[in-house]
Amino acid sequence: MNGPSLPRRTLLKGVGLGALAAGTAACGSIKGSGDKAGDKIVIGFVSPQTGPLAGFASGDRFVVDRVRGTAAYTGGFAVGGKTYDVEIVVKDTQSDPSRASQVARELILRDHADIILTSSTPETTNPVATVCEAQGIPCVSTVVPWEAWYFSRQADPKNPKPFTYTTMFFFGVDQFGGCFVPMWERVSTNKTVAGMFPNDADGNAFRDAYPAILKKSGYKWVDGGAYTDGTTAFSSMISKFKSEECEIFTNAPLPPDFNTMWRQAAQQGFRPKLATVAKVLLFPADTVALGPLVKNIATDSWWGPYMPNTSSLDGESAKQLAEAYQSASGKQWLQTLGSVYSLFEIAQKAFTSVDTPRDRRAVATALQKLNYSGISGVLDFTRGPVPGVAIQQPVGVQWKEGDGRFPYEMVVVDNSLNPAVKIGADLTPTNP
Amino acid sequence: MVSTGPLLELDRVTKRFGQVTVADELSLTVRPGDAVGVVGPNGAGKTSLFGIVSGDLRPDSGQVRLGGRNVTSFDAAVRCRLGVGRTHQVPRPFEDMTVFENVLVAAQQGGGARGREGFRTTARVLAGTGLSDLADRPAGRLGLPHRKRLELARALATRPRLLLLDEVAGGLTDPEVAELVGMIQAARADGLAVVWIEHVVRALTSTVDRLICLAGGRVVADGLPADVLASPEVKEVFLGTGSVGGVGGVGGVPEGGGGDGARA
Amino acid sequence: MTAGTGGGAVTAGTAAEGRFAVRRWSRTASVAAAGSVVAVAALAGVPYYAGTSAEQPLVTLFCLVALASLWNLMAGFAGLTSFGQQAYLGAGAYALYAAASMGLDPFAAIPLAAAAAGVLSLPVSFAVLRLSGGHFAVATWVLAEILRLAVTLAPSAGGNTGVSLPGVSGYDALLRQALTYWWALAVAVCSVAGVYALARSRFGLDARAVHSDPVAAASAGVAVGRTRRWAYCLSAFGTGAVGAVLFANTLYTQPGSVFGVQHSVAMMFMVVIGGIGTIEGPILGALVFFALQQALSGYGPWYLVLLGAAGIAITLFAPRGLWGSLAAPRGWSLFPIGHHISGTS
Repeated sequence: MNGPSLPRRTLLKGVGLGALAAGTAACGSIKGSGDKAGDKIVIGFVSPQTGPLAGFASGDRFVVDRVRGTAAYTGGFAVGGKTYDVEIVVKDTQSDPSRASQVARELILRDHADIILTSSTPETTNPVATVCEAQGIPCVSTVVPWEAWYFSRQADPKNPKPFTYTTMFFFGVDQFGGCFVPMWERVSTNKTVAGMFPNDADGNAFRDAYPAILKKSGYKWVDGGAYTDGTTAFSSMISKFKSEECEIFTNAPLPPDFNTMWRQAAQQGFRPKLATVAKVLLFPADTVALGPLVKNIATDSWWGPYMPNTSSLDGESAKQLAEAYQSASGKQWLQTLGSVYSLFEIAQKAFTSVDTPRDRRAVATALQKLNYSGISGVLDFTRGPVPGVAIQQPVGVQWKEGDGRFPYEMVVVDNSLNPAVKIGADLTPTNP
Repeated sequence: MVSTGPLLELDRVTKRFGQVTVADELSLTVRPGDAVGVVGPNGAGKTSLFGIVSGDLRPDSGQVRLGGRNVTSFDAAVRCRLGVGRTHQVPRPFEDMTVFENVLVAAQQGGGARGREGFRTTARVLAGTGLSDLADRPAGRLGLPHRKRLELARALATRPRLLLLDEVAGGLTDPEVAELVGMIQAARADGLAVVWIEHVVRALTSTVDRLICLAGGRVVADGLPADVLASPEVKEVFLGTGSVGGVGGVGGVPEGGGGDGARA
Repeated sequence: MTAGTGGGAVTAGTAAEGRFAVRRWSRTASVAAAGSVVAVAALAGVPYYAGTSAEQPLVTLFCLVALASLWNLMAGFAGLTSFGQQAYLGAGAYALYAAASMGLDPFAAIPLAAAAAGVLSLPVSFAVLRLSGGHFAVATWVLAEILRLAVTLAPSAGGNTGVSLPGVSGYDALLRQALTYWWALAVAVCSVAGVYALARSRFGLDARAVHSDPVAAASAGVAVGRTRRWAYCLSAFGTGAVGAVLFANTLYTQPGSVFGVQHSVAMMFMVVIGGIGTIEGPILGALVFFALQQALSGYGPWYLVLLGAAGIAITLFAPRGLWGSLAAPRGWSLFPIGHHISGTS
């Protein structure tokens, strides 16, 4: 061809003009999503209400409605001499971390949330907290081991930096140990512990920390291997546990994986004297799938009607909350009722201690400094293992046959970490 | 290209598909400017021979040399660029592309033409094959005669030294065959070597100066067309297999010497 | 690129050989190109006059446009129907994670992440390009699954839970979102413009020939394997860039999600309903897909059913895609890629 023709020149000129226009515009400032109108505080709440993790969140809608009905919320929050209406926007992650990140962004950009509360597993809390930390939105997480929440979000886990906007309350591997080891001590075994831990944030946090805890207490650790969530074949893991003659079993899997594994274990004759499980059998719904195989499996409990705690919003007791849920839903109480309830207690505490709800930094600082007593007991964010983390003290419970209303129920068998909770029954070996 | 050595050499090439041997220790030489016809009954290995030469088929043993260079391991595209142009027995146009684009690809890739030169080559080839008026038509909308011409046009656009024609006259009417023969003879003016498989023997003998008869993957006869067609081995091969087209053609041609085709 | 790229008619041949005017451009194309430049300039200014609420949906749309165009480069031009492009989406995302973990600025590392995906695709191409048709599609899918498992099992890659993007806390939230937006816009523009330039070049013609008939293409001198490899690897490179941008946008990535086959399904959906083998089609397809996503997302799981129904309806009533059915009978072409001949004697 004979050189660039007319259209090409026009095109090049066009590109030049476009670049010039962009350059000029760069002198201006980038626009935000705009201030929202009205005297309203928006609280976003994110949890896995559908999908494989839905068991954690089956009481969430009830709790949100319960909180909406308290005087503290209906009357609005008094902040800096002004009363703000409170709106709670609930979002479902569908148990998908990417969706969790997306709904968190929606809450911030579309709903103009002033704070985001999130609950249940790192798959939910970590994406939400990541978005909040980056966007500078105060955030409180719960029902997630603190190590999985804190270290997995660090650029360099060996050199962690505290977060500014994101806080949480729950407990960690130390408390699991502190809750489980006393139960192991009360059953006579060969002190060999089988560990079933998947390759995910929770599983890896346990795998990193358990061997040291066990060694300190004189137990031998047998790791079943870092399997992928959703695995259906556990034969090699089970035969390893059998050949190592493990008499204690512990884990932190996804609930469906434990159901599969525990059935296969029963078929293949792996019957540990005591099973202390984490992350599964936390909720009554989980027990249905396993039926009688669930009897006398022990787990941790961070909340229950047996806790001597009362709401900081209206003084309701843990027992009353659990019973209100049971009569409203016809379903058995579950532990996340208290945790989710406390998220809203914390939000109310934080907002009412600042001058304006729009000062996100101030709200975040108020969260970091919070120390109060509510339906989850005392939550002190100033004295955690790391800044912004409040530690709960769980008790050991076993699933035992119920009094008729429900087939199985949680009964407290060990209160080493939290002596304020009353023991309900003796510890019984899982497989005598 | 002016060269004294052989252009194409097949050196004891063997190719089998399971029990069927399509080339059995086959050796063959084609010189620059040669015009070689290939006949033989169905299943004699004619199209496979083209596959082996063009690179579409890899022989089990033996060597293929082009201008003295061993090209046995080269694929079809490389051999095309080295000067082997072929047509396919059943035309394979790029259906979604225009006739012009069909030929332009060959001119650019096979013929190594750049920019306007590609356009010029394409225009010349289209004019030479009588496809100019159809240049803007999608190739998928062509009828069989034009598809056959497009095969030829695409092969010519790669600027071959060796042109392999696989039954380009099959299914065409007599006037169409005559036109096609004219195009091939015009192309030969540039010193191009042609190897032509054809059942329409009249068309073949009007153009070629040497004829090969293949059967069972072997060369049964090789020589002047008249001699080959007259040889008892060839007659036996065709009678033996009862190949209708072959026998008819063989019987009719020797003296007729291509009459009408050449004067298209 | 071939001559005639930008210009109007090119005369080839002499009177004796037949006169040809080869047209590769048109007035419509000039208007479309100028319009595109104006549109891109206007979109580049969005962070200044529209703010973050407009940026977020546009980032999604830009990524869809880029993914559709890149899938079209493979499937529409080179004839490679891959079901495993999510492998490179994930590779881009996790490469960005690796780069940011090593202390690189995440935004500066996006090209690196794209390059990592492109480099990864090269050895992969030697394995999968031996296959064709359905075998190729399944092989690419299997490969994406293998990569997902590898990432899940890789040490310090967060396992199944996923990872947060390190190194963004230093950015002001507004600036970070604006940068993400510009990156998404840049990736979309480069994908569309890149595919357009390739489609008009010799490569584009080769790819169309290979798509149409690989054996005949080889006979015409086209290096079939190399043409496919370029299409596959360039598409992987671009898809890696999209994966990195998506990660920079969501700040969180997880193997189960980023390596999900639903991404390939979406790419195919957009290209097929928009119009395969054209430049306009994938853009239109991305717009339709995006609109359906926005309109139907409120219906929960029914969203996928409705999306599927829309896809079936369009393929039944407009088999050449929306753009193909609209433009082909009327001879429209905003972004012409072919050669048109006029004035033959």
